[in-house]
Amino acid sequence: MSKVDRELFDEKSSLQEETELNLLENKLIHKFIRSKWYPGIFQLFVGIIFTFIVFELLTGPSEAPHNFGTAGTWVLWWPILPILLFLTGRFWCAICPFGALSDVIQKFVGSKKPVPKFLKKYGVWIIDAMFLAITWSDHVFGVVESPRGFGTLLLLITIGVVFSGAFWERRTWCRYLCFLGGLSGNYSIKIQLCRISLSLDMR
Amino acid sequence: MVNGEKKDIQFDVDVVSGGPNWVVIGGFIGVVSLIIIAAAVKKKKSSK
Repeated sequence: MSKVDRELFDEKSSLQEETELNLLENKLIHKFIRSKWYPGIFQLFVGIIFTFIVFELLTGPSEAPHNFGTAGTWVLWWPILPILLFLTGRFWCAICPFGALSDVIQKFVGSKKPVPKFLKKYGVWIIDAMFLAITWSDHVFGVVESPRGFGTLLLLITIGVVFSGAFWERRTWCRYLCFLGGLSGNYSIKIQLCRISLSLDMR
Repeated sequence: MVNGEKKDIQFDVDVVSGGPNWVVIGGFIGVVSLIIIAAAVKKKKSSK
């Protein structure tokens, strides 16, 4: 980095620090974030709702307008998600039920092998292929509008999450295979209002 | 009502059941159980 670029970078960092509000300076928030309740309490809440949604999709009314699973996902969660990403960056990833499930599986039976090279190299293409496959199946089979179809799709994703959590390290699914991870990354790079970052004294 | 007369029509229709697909649910539980068991065995072998 040239001297001019460094000066510009330092000036930008300094300006950013002056305008940023560090929520951790609030004692209550700091205490909560450091406590055992975070992010577990959010994960538990989201996990319960997710379980109920899957249950409703698989066993509830087979008509989409009458099924809470379909309504809860596409009418409630999907529109709120971009707003949540804009306001809180990748906070959704911290409380996502798939991420939490991967963590639990890894804790009890995880081998924690390194991420395979093909995932590092082709992960983004696998995400694109999965997204296309879901879009195609929606057009052909009406997967998204069908509670049973959508429930089956969520179960297939859950199988992928369980597999990656059982055999690979950390959150391999989230980092290399989850299309929402890519989406949240794009939203949160530049435009997030709330940034979650790790500081040395929080480790 | 047709021309002021009441008409009855009978259809023989088989309605597909709207209940849960137990094949999908059973398959999911089976696959996940297999993955967890395989991972647990692998972890135990590597820890020895």
